[in-house]
Amino acid sequence: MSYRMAVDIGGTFTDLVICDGMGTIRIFKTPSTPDTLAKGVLDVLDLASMSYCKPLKELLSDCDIFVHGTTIAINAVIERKTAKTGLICTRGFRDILYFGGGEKPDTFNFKMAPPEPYIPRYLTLPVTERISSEGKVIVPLNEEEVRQALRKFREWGVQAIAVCLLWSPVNPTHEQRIARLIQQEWPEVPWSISSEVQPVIREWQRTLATVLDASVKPIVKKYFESLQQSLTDRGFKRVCHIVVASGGVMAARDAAERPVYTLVSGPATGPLAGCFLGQQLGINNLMTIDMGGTSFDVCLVRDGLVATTRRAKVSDLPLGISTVAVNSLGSGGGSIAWVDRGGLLHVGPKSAGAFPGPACYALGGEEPTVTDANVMLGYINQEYFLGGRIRIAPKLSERAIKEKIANLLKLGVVEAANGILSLVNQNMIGGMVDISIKEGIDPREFLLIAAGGACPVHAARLAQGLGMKQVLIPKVASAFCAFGMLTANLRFDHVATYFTDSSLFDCNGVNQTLASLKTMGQAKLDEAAIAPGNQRFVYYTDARYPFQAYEIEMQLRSSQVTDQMVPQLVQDFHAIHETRYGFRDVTQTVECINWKVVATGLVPKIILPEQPYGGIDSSRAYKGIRKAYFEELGGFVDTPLYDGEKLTHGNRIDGPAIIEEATTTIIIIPRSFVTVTRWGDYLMQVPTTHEKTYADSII
Amino acid sequence: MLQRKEKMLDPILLAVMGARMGAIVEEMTLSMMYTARSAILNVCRDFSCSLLTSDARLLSLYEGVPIHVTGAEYNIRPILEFFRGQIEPGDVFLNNCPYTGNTHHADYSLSAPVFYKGELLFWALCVGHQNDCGVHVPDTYCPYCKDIYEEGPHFPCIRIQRNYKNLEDIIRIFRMNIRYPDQWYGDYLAQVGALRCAERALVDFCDKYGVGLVKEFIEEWMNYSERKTKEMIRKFPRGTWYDEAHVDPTEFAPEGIPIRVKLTCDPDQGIITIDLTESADQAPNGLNCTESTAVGGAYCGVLPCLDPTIPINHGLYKCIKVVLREGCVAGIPKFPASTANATLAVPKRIAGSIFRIFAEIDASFGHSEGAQSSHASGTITGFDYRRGYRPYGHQLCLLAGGGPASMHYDGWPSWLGDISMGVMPIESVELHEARFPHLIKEIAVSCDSAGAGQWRSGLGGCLRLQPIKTGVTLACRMEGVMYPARGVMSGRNAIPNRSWIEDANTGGEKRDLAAQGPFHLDENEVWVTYVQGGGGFGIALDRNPELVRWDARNEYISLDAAKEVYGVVLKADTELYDVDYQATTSLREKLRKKMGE
Repeated sequence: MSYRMAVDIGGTFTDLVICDGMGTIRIFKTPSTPDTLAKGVLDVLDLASMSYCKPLKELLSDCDIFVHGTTIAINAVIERKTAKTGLICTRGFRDILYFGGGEKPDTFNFKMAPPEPYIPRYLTLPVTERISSEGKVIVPLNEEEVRQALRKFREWGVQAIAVCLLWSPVNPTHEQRIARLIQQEWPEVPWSISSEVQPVIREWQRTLATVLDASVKPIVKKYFESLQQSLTDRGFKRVCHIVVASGGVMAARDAAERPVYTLVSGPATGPLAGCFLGQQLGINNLMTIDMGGTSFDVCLVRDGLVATTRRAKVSDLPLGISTVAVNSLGSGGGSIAWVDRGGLLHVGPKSAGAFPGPACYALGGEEPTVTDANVMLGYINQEYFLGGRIRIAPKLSERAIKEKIANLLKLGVVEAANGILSLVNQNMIGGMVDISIKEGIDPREFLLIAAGGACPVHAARLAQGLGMKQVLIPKVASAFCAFGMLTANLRFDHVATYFTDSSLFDCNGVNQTLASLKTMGQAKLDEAAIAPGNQRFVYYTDARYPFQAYEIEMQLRSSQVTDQMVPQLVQDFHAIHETRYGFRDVTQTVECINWKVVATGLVPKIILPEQPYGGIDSSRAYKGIRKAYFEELGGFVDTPLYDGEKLTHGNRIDGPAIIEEATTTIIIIPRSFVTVTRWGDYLMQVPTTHEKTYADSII
Repeated sequence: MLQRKEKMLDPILLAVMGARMGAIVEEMTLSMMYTARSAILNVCRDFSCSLLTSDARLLSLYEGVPIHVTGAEYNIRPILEFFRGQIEPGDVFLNNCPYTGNTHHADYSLSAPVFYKGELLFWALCVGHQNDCGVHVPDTYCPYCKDIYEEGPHFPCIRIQRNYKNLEDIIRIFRMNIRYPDQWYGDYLAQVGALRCAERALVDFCDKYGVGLVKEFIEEWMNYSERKTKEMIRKFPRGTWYDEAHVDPTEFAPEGIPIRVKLTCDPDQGIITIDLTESADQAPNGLNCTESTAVGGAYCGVLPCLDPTIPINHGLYKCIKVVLREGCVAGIPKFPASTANATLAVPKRIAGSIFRIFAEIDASFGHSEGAQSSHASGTITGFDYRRGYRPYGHQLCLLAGGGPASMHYDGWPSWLGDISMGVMPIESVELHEARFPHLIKEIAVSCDSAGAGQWRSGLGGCLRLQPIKTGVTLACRMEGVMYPARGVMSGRNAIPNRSWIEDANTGGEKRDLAAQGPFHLDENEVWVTYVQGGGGFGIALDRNPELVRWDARNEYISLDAAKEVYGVVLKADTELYDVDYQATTSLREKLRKKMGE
């Protein structure tokens, strides 16, 4: 038997999805271990090994593909727990990070703090050197100044060094020389040079990418190395792959050298999972939401394409690389509810995480969380949370909500719990509005896919709040991103700058460039043991009319360009320019600036097994009654419970009702109902009566 | 009675449709930025797109240059007059004339009517600052022009496309009058492309919602803004406030030109009135406002003091009345007065005065002034040795001054004045050097350039530029020398702008430049220009000592300034310049006493 595995480390849980050769999917979850993340990965693998009744060594040695998504880099940036980083720049240009790109957002709002440069000015040290726009050395590098800068950095306890000099994409020799000086003078300090991180002109964006890269490198590198080592020690024979911002994957070794691409890692694959599930149902327009313990991620898929952006920001810093467009908020099951001095209730963004976790975990947490509110209202089974592996103590939920919320607001405990849930729902709806209504897209035309362990409890209310009529709760809801990783292909992008103009097209130079890029991509795929038949190469150029400041990425028709093909290339550019911008200018030549080869390693498609039709009757799965709170029914009512494991294709359950799964709980609100699809997913129809309530809050 | 329609305009739909309008203008903006040819448009984004109703009421705008968008309505109104009954689908009109509603001669305002099923429903507008507009000197702000006959050709709302096709004879006129005809034509296509992009999107919009619902939306969208604006103004106190600012001296006004702003707040009606009529008479040069920019300057002053979440459209504009006088420098120009500089010097002063008045009304609403114009946004022209000595011209945007400070907030950098508000991107040095034969030797923060206060302004800086192989001409006007950006609530003023020439080989200072060009610069000379910060907000001695420490550690302020201006004593031998709190407390006491005396 061969396996494919994907592990996603969230703020609260570490999820493992294993797909065997038959397409059968199994999910495992263990608490994340924030201090030693790799331990969390091993914990969840141990759990799987027990469940498969196979020693871990055997399980791992049968594993063909191991994909991993992590938020380690982004969390470090958000929480400012990055390495203390020094920046070396060209003399005279110490303030590239302060001046930024201009473009203050929100024009008429002056009450915004200006962005603090990512590297403080005192840790930004200029060195005398200058390269011209043609790549000529105008002022040679003053090596003594470099050494002085390094000594200062050392004295101040700097932990990583970024180097970004003007014109290094055209002539990287000064940056390379500085890298060698660092290796000589201070071999143990990690460094990044801009001509390697992002060899593209525009110094501000390149400097930002370089400082971000350097500042997370020590943490990321250490983690990836220890992870690969641990897996290898336990019998894994291949290279561990890491999810990167484009939704593709990279070898851990490569990702450790370029950690900026892992800043958007785990959440990037949620929409891929959504696409997969949408395709099964023949639905192309969907919104994926994923609520775990710490965060809530939302993304749109339109016409079957995952929304991507070049304007992704981390802590308000533009990344300058293309990423999956995921909107993340600090709302999760572990989000802590609190009352401010003015007597206003808040939920999040602080989370109780896995340790100590919500008060009801009885691990010492005293703060009331969203999960505690769900326990209070009878939504979560005390005996069966995470399949019974965590015992819930409702008394502790009650105490936390009473002491920290209800008493301060002079409310009953149930009212307070309901208030917490209404508020966290409203926050999440806000995040959904940002990527839909605020972009002029009406979410009522979209299918909502609700994933993440905590989401199915809230999904119906969220859909109702936006007037969305259908919600799909996948069987893999609780490990959605990990499932998405299994559907991701291996992908390696290689880019090089080589300028040529269509009037004097340099076929030789271009073809050499393309060939060397292809060789690099092919080497990566070979290394990942992708058979030649599953290797795909797609060739692109960034082209523009003379003096335009932005290029259009255009796919080439073949792997080479011959003299006879140049007129076709020009025609293609005119056509794509017209489609995109409404006009062409045939009097102009076309300039080609960058060349890119995307090397894709196809992984075998996952085919999920289908269930036979089992009729609408769901009574076989009925397992009893619990009191649960539904405001529209006037309070607590007897609510039927169903065992998710026993439901089959075609079964229908009308709300109010609760479906319990090992890793999640689905709340079916009154007047809605759920049917089971033939893949065992839950499709919920939601009544849309609450439009006005939501609408009042935005207008 | 409200009639029931097939689709009702519920609050969600209102928000969706309003946001869709914003998204269409954003698409126009991106299309323009991605396709335009001159750097002033595709890098510095000195253009603005907006959508208006069939009767020229502003409906939606994206983050364009504030002084452009506030005047959008003035651009379309004359077209409705001139072409009454003759406006057809496929038309494009061009207006650059100050006497037919435009901002100034160098902004080419292109507009297209948008029809749906034969009915005119919208106007799409794209105002773009041209790289060149055929003035006798290569300049687009020309403060020295005596009248409009020195400003280059004027096109008072002419048709340039009919039935989606160029009127080629008109195109030939432009190509003959403009210095870089190919580049201009590329920019023109990009502007038309943006209009067509809006047209397609608006037709889809009407297809989707139906024309009845769209019309209902338009009115409700404006009512919503008007309601929210009035609600806010009702919270202001009743009264009238004054502020007097000065434009820096000119040869005709050696003491400067007074700009007088009278602001009246009527909370009952929910109306704010800005009266500019007491300002100086019109000037015999290009500093005069056009009607569009006088009103624009006033809007630029008021909008940042209101609730920033109110959608900007005609509904909001209805709550701000601007009273102008004909023949006034901050009013309606009397033909044939020149208005070549109409978007810069005077409107910046109008806006800044209004910020300060609001601070007086309630400290939490107002702001200090942002940096005044410097030479760093001048136009540079020359010949490119790398391209066969082909002539080129470019409006610089490598460095822009500091922004205003507000209560609890320091100012932003890269501000470019209170009529652009930091929305314009700053040029990349690398992109600049790839395009133009210049060597940029320095762009850096200048120590102590921020107006001091409890909250300080954004920082100013220094630019050093050397032309390569051949000399260049700089056309520019520097403001803020005699009258730099002003602080408010006892915040300090900015340090005056300055500009000079150094010898490229020795670095020695050769000569100071006057406020107003054009100047010539040789290839062995380095042009240095200092760009000021804005004014400060509140008393400097009240600034949090930790913020002072951080500013000093990063050399944004000097140790001397930390001590003398902010009264903070620092231990400069520690890595982070720890604050000596004991010494600071006693020093601040002493300085406060001195201030009281």
